[in-house]
Amino acid sequence: MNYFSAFEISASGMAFERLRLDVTAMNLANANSVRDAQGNLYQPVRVVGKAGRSFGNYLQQAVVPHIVAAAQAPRLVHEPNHPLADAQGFIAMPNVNPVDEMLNLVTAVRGYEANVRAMNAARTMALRALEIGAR
Amino acid sequence: MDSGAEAVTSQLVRLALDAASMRHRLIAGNIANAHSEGFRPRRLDFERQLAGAREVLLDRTQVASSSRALSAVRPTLAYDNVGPVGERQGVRVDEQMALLAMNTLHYQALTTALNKKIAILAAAISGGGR
Amino acid sequence: MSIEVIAATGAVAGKALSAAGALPSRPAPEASFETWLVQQFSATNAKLVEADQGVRRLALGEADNLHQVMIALEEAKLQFELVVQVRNRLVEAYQDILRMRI
Repeated sequence: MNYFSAFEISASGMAFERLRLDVTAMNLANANSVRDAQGNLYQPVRVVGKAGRSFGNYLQQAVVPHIVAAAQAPRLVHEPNHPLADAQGFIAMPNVNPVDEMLNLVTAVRGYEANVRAMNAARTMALRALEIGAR
Repeated sequence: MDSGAEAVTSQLVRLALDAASMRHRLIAGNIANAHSEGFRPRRLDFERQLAGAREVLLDRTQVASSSRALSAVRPTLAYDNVGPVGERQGVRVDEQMALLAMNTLHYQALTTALNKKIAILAAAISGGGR
Repeated sequence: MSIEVIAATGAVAGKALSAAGALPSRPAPEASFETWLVQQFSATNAKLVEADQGVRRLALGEADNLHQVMIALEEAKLQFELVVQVRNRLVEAYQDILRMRI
């Protein structure tokens, strides 16, 4: 562990929040997509963060992201005129919850900001340390 | 404290400063190429190279071998590996900015430390009379 | 830098002091100033070495934190300046004794 560890912890937090934002954007972009040619429907994904293995080793990430696809029942939309609609006029769409996604969006942005602040604070502290004994 | 060990320290600091300025250019290049097609971010493999000579460098009695180890070190380029799952390859500007901040800080820390060492040497030369 | 030169000066000054202390009219000082001075020299040397090792660790990229490196450097500098000033005063005192008319 060296004095860069604070930076690296914040950097891994920033990467994690960015990944959450990417995943949220992907969920939103696929909210209205339908089954592909193989019949697979898009599954909404979530990023789950696990705390890094050890705090001391700065080469390891402080947050380890895991992308999990929640196997959820599709959302059935009644759209009889749709070319892919079934006999009852329903079409399966990914179960993306717009409210959850917007919440994720906001918390990811705020989390990212917090990590940037933490990094700037570490930088300010280190610069203050360099002023020890300065005239 | 003998002058040999002192010389090793300043040689080491000089090398670390060289590496930091080289790293700055690399990061600037990475940021400049953020939108270049097929560009792989580059980084400097300096600390890992020094890690081999770490034991020798922290032993103050091994002046000659420290000096030899230091003159063998040349900071070399390395390419970033593929990122973690779900991340696209390429330059991530925020990561590069974080690296830039760290590198700038390291450079400042090294120059400050060097200044303090020079101040001690100056005090020794002037014999306390300024 | 070499502290042996200063140490040598201190030894000379210490001898001058003990010579002054050996005058028949004055009792010998019980706590030797020379011992204190030699202790200070070795303490200064240790501080300088410690600060130098800190700088090496910093350059190797394994300094735990910056403030400890900076504090070690600053302590070494102050300790060194203290010893240099003591040495200067000693040399002055020695020269004063040398110029004394008997």
